[in-house]
Amino acid sequence: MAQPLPPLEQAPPPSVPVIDMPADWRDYFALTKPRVMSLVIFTGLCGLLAAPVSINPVLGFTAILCIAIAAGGAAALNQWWEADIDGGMKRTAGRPIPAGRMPAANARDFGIALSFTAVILMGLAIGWLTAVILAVSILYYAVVYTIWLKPRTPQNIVIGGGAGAFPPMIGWVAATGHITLMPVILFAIIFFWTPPHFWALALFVQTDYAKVGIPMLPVVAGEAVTRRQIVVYAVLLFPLSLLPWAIGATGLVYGVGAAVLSAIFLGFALRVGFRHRSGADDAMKPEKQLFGFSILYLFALFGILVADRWIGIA
Amino acid sequence: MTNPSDSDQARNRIIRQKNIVFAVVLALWVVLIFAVSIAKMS
Repeated sequence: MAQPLPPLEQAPPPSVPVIDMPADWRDYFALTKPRVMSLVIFTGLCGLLAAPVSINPVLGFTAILCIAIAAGGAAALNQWWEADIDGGMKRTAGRPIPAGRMPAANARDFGIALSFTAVILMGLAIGWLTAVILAVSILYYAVVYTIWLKPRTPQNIVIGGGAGAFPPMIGWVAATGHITLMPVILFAIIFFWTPPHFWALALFVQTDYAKVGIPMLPVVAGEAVTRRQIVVYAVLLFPLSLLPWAIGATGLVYGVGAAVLSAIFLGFALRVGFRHRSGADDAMKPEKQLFGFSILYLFALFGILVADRWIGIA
Repeated sequence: MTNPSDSDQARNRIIRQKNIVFAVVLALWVVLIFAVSIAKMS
């Protein structure tokens, strides 16, 4: 027998996807933003390995696992809060919630569960100072960045960048048990690296951000200001990346490597900073190159940091 | 048009896969807690 149609007022609004299948485990995995997580794991691991004391391998693995779980939890909370925004952008419309494969409440509960698990395990296995920093990093990303700053200010990326800057600091503190100048410098390196990295992306996907009303700098202040700001942060990053060597915390391998990498990064940033879009069909190649190299830069810089420490031991 | 039995099969497959993943994660969790306990004692 045919089912009667529901009354019009009971029908869901067209923007709410009808979910007739349970979410796949792959959808839950996708909520954790695995590609972002890989960078978080890498920088956290580098902070742990570059610390001047060694840690039991099982505890070291647990610390990195906690950082990864926390990053996954924060990413799930971010996708829960931004489901409407994600649905309006081509790059993110295929995510589980906007694509209609999962109810938003599931993502929220999953994010909360992961976050609590990570913090409690970190506290019990490693130490409560590390657990507190981990909890602060989750709140910083999920509340300060996602809920508060991102929809309100074009400086969202600058302050929100602090969320991504926590992993190496957490890795270092997990190994040593206390905060010193070096983990703060590692934090600052990622903090100053984030604006040029994200603004390069925002320059070539800015139409998407404008469509959903996110006040990214290129949308609010224009391309010229964004390009100038990219150069400013790249210039500041250059001496900052050399600071670990300058204070004697690393050797010459890191010093030379950081100088070369930061010079190349600055070169890419200057190319972006002193050009103008040639027209609507501009391929934005320098901006895409800066974005691509910025990821390589961070992997290479932290890789050299660890290499320098282990060469020093050998 | 999707056959209702196909839809049920797909639903059951998704639930079964999710249960397997959950069981594996729980087993690894137990191993991890065991390993951490030993590491903390040593």
